[in-house]
Amino acid sequence: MRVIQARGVTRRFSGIPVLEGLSLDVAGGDVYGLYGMPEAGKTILIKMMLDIISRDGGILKIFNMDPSIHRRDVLLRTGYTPQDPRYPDWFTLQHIIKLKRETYNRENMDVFLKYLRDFGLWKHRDRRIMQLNIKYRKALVFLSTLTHDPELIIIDEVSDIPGDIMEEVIGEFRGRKTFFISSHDLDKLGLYVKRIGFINEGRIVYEGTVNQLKKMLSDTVVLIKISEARRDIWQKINRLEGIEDLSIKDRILRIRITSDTGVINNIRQILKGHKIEIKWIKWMGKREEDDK
Amino acid sequence: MINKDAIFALLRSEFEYSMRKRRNHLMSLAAIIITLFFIIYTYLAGGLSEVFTGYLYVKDEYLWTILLYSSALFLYLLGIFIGADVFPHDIEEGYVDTLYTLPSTRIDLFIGKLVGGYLSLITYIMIIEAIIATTIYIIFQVSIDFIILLGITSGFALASLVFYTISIYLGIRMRSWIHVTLFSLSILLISPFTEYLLYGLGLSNYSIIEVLSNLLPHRPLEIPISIVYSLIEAGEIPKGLIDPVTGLIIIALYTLVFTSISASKFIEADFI
Repeated sequence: MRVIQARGVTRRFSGIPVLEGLSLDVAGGDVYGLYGMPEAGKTILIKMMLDIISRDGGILKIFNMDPSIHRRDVLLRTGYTPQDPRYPDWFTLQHIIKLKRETYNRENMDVFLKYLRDFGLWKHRDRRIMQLNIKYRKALVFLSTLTHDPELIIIDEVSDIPGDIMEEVIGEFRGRKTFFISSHDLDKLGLYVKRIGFINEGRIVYEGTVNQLKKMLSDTVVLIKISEARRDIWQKINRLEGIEDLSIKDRILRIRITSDTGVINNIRQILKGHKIEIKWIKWMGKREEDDK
Repeated sequence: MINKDAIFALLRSEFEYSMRKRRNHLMSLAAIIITLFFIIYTYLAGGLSEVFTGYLYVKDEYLWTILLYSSALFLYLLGIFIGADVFPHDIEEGYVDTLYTLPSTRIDLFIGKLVGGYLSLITYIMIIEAIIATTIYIIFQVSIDFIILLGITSGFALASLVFYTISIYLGIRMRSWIHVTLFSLSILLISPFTEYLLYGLGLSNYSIIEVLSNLLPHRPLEIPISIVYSLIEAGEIPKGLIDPVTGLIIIALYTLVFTSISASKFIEADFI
């Protein structure tokens, strides 16, 4: 049975295409990874699946239902961990559980409590959730999604959740629940999934294994639009291993990557450290070479 | 189909959020201070007395009106502040991903948040009135009659609906608390001037102008004042003040129109 089905999904924001004819299928019990550069459209697709935003065109079905029509039915069977889970200041884990208890018809606390104890998270149960760092906050929110025994578990940006928790949960529920996990970190994603989709410029441009994708992405050209072009940063990036032919024009860094995309994360860290915002990252593949 | 559980959970969450918000606390405090200031001022000026047993009354009608208008204004501002933040804060603070993905239809979400915010507004009004009534009792040994308090509370709660629903609609459209607040405030300020302008232009056609001026959103704000007058003066409402029945019709019209267009906008909105 297909749990997620997308056919030609499109969405534009202020005339700019974000999703352009995206299609994918995820079968029940699958652990599917969605890999893409930042701003590639991963979060937009996930938010469409949960009816937080609407689509301009195409077909999107979750459990064979359109989420924009059967919103409640889809959400009842889905557990969602956002990229940056935020709650009002006073919210503790207890508040989250209470809110869930009031809105979901089913509750299975055993697994949740077991994991809280196993991973040493029990001590955080009375702490304000927004005072926890993203790692613990996201881990607690992720584990709390298990309380209503969802059939589909969606995680936006899995790299923030501690690896041991992810491995344990996926290991326990593999084949019984469907996982849809997104990340911009291919190495992290590769730890949990076998089948992966690569989203670039609003389309799934590759579906297959993680290793094949890594091969495809090595020796490739990536464009990064940044908020500010500074020579010192440029030099720092140029010194990174796995980078060739770095150039910059109109605040767009053009980088040829000779290793896999792990180097992108190092570039992101450098830019983040200097408070330079990344507007978008585009994977150009061999296209630029073909143009030449 | 409407899901009561989801509506109640969202209502409670919105109510709790609104009751804990520092901005609303400050506005309530301002309403209390401004009312007490006018009461003490009128007392010192010799304008405060008891005309009926148990009724606190200001002799000077001008001061009485200023007192009610100024404290009422702060309560309406509170209505604007609460209404303006019901939807924008979820988007600005990033709660959409967590609260809007609970299993509910969009209409459940809308109803829960709308009613939750409104209940918090009524609670603020009741708290403010309770504090003022207690202070008056402690200082002047005069207890405000329960019927008067109930009348003022209902009047404020109903009249606040106009700007509350306007702000709700603007909040869904504009998604920025500060923009919604400024826009609602400008409506609140422009509305009385429009009334004067209408009267200035329409001297030869008074009745039409009166109907038109009654439709302006600031007119229902006079309801609490006319209720107080009608209770104290045994049914006599001073000329020029809107009568409660007309006021209620205007409130119902505004509430119906703005709630409907807010709901239809909310159902198709992107929460991003």
